[in-house]
Amino acid sequence: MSHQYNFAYLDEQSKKMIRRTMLKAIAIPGFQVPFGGREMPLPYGWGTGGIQLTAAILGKEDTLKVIDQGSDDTVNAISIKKFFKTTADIEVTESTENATIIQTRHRIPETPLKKGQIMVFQVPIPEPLQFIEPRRRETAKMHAYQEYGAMYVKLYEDIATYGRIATAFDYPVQVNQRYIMSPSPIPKYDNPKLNQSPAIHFFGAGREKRIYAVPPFTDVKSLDFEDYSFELESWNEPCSICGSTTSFLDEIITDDEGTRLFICSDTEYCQKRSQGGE
Amino acid sequence: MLQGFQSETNDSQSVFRKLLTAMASPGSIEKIDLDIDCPGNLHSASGGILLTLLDFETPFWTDLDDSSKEIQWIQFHTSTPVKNSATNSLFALCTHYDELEDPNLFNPGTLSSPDLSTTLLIQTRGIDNNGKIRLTGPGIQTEAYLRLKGIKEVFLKRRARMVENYPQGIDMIFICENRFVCVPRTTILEVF
Repeated sequence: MSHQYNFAYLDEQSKKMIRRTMLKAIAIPGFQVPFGGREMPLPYGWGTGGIQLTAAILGKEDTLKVIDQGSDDTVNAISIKKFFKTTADIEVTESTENATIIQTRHRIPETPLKKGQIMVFQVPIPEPLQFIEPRRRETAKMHAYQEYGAMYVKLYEDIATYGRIATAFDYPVQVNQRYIMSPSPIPKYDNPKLNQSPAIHFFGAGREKRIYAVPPFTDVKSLDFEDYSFELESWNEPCSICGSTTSFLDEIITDDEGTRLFICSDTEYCQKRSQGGE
Repeated sequence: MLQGFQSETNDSQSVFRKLLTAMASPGSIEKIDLDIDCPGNLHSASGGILLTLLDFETPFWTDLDDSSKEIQWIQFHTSTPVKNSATNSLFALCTHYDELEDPNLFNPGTLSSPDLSTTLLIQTRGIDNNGKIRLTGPGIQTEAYLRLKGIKEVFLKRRARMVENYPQGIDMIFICENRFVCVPRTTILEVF
């Protein structure tokens, strides 16, 4: 099948341009580098930015894992794996440990990442300041001059209204003491995993045509205040399948009476634990 | 004309992955395992990296002669526009390392577009991790040390001061034969 496409779908010149952008993104952690995003054979919102990054990184020896909200088995994850199996004939896996590249929509796996692994995040809205200032020209200036006061005002308004910072996902971070960055809509529970991570993290926004990155061993700080510090969500009960008390749990409604249970969002981690006696 | 990559797809991908690893861990020396026959004074890592990254969109500057076989080879394989001003280049290659004194000759980008800056390739007489240049910053867990044979101390000291201009800056790749090491703009240099 693969001979019908160029390796990993994109043509070589497109990959070259994306690769140059990726190197600049690594050199300026957290800065959104514009790139000539290509048309991909799927609609915006389904991971076109992430797919272009993966296509530019991927080699014959790579093993790819794709997750969607922590699950290896959703339509988006399966379709993207199938796409790269068809166009690049590479190995795919569900194991976080065995993957060299992990493309993800909205989660970071529970299994700790290793040096050499590359995370690729699908990003719907790369600009963390967009809801404060919709004009691109203005947000570019705010990043240039580190004019980040408005972002703190937004967090403060949360505290004034709800008594706490109510943002639960896409929680803004500051990278390498410089740029404020959207970590993509991962739950804030995953934010600490970005800080001083041994893996390389790439973020690709296909519609907005930007790429940004966090290199390994880089400071990533979730924004907060001295008297209202960044807090992680917690659950009162363990995962009903594997019993984990340390992973991010999804709430599942099981019948019309409102019976609910909590299970791990990371399906591979949960399966490994319930089968393998941890 | 000497051949470029054996396979554009596979060779450029493998060089890029080495580059990505190197740029993400400043100070760690990577090796290009390709049998690539570069003309004249062009080291094989320089040739591999240029073929991987350059095309018609990348203004390129080098200290080599305009009519040299090295430039002909690079242009033949990449179609890169060769410029005679280092300040306007997105990529630059220095081969006369013993004359290189000022990293400020190159383009550091602007405050709002720091990505539109020069990536500078510098060929050296040798690179290893036993030197007296201390590296810290993003990508480095604690610290790294480098020796760059032939690179003038004044050049390194000027580069060390450039971190004050961050996010503007020059991303550098030091090369010797088929080995190379990256020093992006975020890396803090101390020269003992």
